[in-house]
Amino acid sequence: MNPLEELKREIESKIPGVKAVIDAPRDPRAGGFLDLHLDDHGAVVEWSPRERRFGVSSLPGTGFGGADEAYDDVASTVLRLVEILKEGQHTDPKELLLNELRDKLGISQEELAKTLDLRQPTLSKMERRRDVLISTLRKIVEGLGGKLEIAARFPRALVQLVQFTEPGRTARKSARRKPSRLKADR
Amino acid sequence: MYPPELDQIHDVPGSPKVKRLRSSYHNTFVGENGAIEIRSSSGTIEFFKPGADGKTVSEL
Repeated sequence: MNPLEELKREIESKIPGVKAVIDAPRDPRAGGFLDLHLDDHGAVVEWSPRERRFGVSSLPGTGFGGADEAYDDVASTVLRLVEILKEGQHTDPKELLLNELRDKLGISQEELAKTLDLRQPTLSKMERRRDVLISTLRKIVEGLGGKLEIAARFPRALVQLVQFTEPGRTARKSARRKPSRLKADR
Repeated sequence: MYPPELDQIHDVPGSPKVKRLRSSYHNTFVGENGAIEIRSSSGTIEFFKPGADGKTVSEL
């Protein structure tokens, strides 16, 4: 079953009276949207087959970005949608500073510094920097219980760059031969 | 605003000269004459521009 159809079925069973409409493009590989309305409140879910994620948005007024929150599976997406629609909540914009993210997770600077085996003033400085080593950022994110991902967005693709975030993944030698060698072979 | 994604193209029933590109909060309508119209998900027109022949999306 299409993930959006599965989500629609689940949300309709959890929230009686919800109006759920799938808006899918003509290309079946491209994912699509699920528009949800309950009374005066609404939410939009975007299924991305490329990222295998549900993006959830429910901002008051008109939002201008992509999805505000992302979920990996139907169950956690449904849980969040029930909160949004039944309790009239709105999604949180996804842009956060490191200290805002830590606060949101209810973790103090002292607690995170202890987890990372750092002094609290050192962590405080890191949170205020405009640039840090990727390895340092990875440790901070993992200390918060997350996983750092770095992606490059192109007009028609989103590519996860794994060599900076997964230890042991380094550049592979290209299988292609150098042009100069090819010329010499002729 | 995120640019419309080419894999999110929809046909518009009754308007064969117009295509609709969906994003989370908007639909962007593009006419074959180059006309553009951006509507919020509630239907409000946020922006429109006539095409090369002076016709808007809703006139196609």
